[in-house]
Amino acid sequence: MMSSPKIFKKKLLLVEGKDTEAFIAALLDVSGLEDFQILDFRNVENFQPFIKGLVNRLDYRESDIQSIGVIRDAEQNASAAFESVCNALKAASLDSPSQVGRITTGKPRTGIYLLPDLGASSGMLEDLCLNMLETDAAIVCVEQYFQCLSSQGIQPPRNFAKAKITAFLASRPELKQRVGYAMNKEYWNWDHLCLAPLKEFFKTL
Amino acid sequence: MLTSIQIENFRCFDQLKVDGLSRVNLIAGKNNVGKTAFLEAIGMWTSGSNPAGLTYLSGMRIPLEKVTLDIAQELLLAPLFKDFDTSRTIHIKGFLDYSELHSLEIQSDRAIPNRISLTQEKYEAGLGSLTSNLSQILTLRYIPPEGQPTENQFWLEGNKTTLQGMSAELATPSLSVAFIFANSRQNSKTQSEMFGQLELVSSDYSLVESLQLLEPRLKRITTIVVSGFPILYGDIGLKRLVPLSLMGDGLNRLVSILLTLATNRDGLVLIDEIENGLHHSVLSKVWQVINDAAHRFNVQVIATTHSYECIEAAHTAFSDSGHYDFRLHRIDRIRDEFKPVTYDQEALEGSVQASFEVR
Repeated sequence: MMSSPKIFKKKLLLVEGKDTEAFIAALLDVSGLEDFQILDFRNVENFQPFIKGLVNRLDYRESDIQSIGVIRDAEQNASAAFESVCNALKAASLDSPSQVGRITTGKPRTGIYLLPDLGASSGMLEDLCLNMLETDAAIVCVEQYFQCLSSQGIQPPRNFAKAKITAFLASRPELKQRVGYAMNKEYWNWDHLCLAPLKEFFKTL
Repeated sequence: MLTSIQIENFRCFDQLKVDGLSRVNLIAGKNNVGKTAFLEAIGMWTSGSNPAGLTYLSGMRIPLEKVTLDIAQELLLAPLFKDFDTSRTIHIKGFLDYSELHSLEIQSDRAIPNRISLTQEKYEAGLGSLTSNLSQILTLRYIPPEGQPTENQFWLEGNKTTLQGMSAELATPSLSVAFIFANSRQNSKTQSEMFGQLELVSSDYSLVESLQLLEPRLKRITTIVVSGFPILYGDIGLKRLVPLSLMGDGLNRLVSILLTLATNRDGLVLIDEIENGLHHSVLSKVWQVINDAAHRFNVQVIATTHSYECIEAAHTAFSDSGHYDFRLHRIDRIRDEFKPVTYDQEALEGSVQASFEVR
């Protein structure tokens, strides 16, 4: 049996998928935040079994965990996504916050952050990534590329945000096909204001 | 069915409460967290004021025929009490079907009851020391959900290896119990008797079909008496029958488990280290037949394990069965406190998917 890594930090960030894990790890790194351990719950359907299994782990029970943050995509409906995470936290006998971005006061503290940002009613990690690229010269070319496709009557991609990010990554010196593989600090604007609420979430957690 | 058990001052446990017991339960945990002691506590509890529970204990840890007074004192009676502190009272409280509370209290007393007049006379005649000739006196007090408690005292005396008692009033919870120990095989006579009982009352249950999981060639089991000694034999298509005891540890382990389940209808079967002798590749199927037998004979199973494969196989088998009446309970020792944790289907599924350690 390949065991999951031991819990070694008092603050846990539970994230959806490898791309989000890589993104959050890079953001924590550039922000100088070292007291978090990231665990990937892979997909939203798996979150409730995952968190129920996590709180039963011996190393979790021994660790005196201070806080747990859950970070996932808002997807089509942020309210439904928030409610789903709250229900899973309750099923694992954990407190659930009153709204996205808020942190509970219990032990452990819990908080939920839905990507791309606090006020979004829908969206995903790639939307946040696009916001970070707002001032990047390549993004103009990416926009023009999709306009060109549209003008040719070519069927648009089902997920524009992912398609634009893929096109952006294709513009880099080293070709990376996924966000998770492309978390080089120099590709992205980590100082962009769109990241401020997420950084604040980490600091409060 | 036993749904909850609370243990105080027994063996290593100051206090331990396990809720949510299901039809089939696996008990996991690191070494020395008290997995076997947990089974022993349940065995004691099911025995009520009957000292048979003590016999189960000795069978688990030391061969009964080797029990002497000193051994009994050191290894059987005193260690029942947390930290060997015989001034404590052991409490074991169990709920049957969530609401029916049956309690057992165990106390130790070195004072000699006045009722042992013969021994008292010997003492007064200078024939020996009373206290050196008697083990601890154990008082077993069983408190049923309704009606009066019953209380009995038991001890080991001199070189006798049987328990002596003051009263014949033996009351127990209405639940029969059977033990299957970790490393000892059931003897042939016991197995033959159980097989005979099974043949008598459950002719529709095919033990052979279940055992074919491990020995596909097995066609038939029969009892043959050799020199007055009953032995179970199997027909595996050879020119002659083969004693089951020669067919490997795995098959014999499964024979023990299934025969015990089948002959303990409406009862409780406690199994220490259930995976012993069973190869991981057959564990899912083994759980299928255990699940089938537990339902067919309305038996509850509580078993200890060290094996991840065993836990995963049970989870898979019960998930596939469509009726998940299985729970994993792990006893954790956290900062010197025993803290159990129970996995339902969802928690175990999440743990398996994420490769979390559950043992």
